[in-house]
Amino acid sequence: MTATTGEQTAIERYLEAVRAELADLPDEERVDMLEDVEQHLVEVAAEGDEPLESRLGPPAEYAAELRAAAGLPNRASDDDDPFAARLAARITRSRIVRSSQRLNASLQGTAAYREVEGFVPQLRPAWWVLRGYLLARLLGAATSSQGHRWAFIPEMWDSYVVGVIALLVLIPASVAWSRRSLVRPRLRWLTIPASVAIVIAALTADSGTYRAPQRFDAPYSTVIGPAGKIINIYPYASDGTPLKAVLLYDQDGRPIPGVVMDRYSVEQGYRDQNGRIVPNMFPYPEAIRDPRTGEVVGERQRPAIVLPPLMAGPTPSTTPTPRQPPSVSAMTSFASPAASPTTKLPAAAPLVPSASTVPTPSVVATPTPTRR
Amino acid sequence: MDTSQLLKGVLDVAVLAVVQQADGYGYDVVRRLRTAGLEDVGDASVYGTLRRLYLGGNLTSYVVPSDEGPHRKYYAINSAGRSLLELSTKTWSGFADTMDGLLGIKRERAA
Repeated sequence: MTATTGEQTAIERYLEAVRAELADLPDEERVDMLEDVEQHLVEVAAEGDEPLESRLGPPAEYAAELRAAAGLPNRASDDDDPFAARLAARITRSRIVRSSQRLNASLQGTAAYREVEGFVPQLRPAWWVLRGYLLARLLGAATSSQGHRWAFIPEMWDSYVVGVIALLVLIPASVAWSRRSLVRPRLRWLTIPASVAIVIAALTADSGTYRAPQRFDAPYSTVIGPAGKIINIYPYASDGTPLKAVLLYDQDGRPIPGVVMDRYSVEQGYRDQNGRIVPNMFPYPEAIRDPRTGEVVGERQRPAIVLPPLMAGPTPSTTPTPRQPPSVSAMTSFASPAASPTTKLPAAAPLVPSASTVPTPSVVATPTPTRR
Repeated sequence: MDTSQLLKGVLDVAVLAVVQQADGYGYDVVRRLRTAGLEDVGDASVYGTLRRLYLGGNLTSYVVPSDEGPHRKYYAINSAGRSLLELSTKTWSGFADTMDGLLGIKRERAA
């Protein structure tokens, strides 16, 4: 039955009032909802004489109840950013959110899924903490010079102390942001895009180390000495002769690789017959870079050292004089790792400096050092 | 006890149950809920719940044209809605049993 003219006016007025309360929603959403509302109003009007307002309550209340039941955020107040409110409603009704809701609905049949679903919201505060930590790491990577090894506490401006302070500031800030104690409503919409950006940046940013153009066979190791990290090794003979192109191996015969290799070191450093980097040959060339531009301004020279007071003459060793090039048999015996634990290495085994070749034993191919 | 608070928790299930018995349009569902005894349920709440269930994939809808009045949008339950209803019914029964036990009520429950 069609409504009378008088009823029509009342319906239209009520509908308009409801429309006003839904003005902050996306158009499509509002139009759909108002269709339903109109149908409802027509039915109610047809029932009797009672005016719509007394039967259904004021339009504002009706609209608020409708929104809440429909899962939409409340009407943005005048202070709030209308853009943010519309964005929030658009996100709630977006295809992605709705498909995931549908997926969620269909997965409800599984008990395992329900358990997990119940538990996951409790993890949100843990995510806030993690977010603050990731942000600190990102800032650390951005403000520190050439990165060293990954450490749990990020370095900020090359200082762990500043890094700790940054954590103490950023983690509570991240938590407070999500607990709504800090942020103006205007900025709330930033939360999701910013969080996503932080996660992506944290996953893809490296810690500041330059990527070497070649992969090494030996993995990096971090060698920590009593005074700090060891990033280069400068060998000397017992009489103070500086040694170059020295190969280092650990107690199991594994090469000890350099821990910081930047592009300069790689380009200038030792390579074997196949052109591959020799990571355990020391000292390797270290660039001095302008801290602002990162450009190479020089090469690091040997540091000043203090030799320990050793006895003049040869130190106890199996070779007669330190200056003799090592015999082939001596080379063979420490070249095969299986035999080496019992072999006493000469205390100073000077490899002839730089460019000369070393006899290659049959067991292990020693890389031929070449300086470019 | 404030029934409106209780109702908020179970309105979804109630609406699903009504639509499962027979497809219905908005006001029809409101009337059936009231007839069943839920007098306090607000119209707007039912409409909003129908919309939300529909968008969440638990109800489908279709329009029935009518000569004498506006076309009516009918809602029907689908398989996801049925699963949800079944699940929610179990939850409800479990909860009601617990409360009955707590309150010392012995009840005959229909099969």
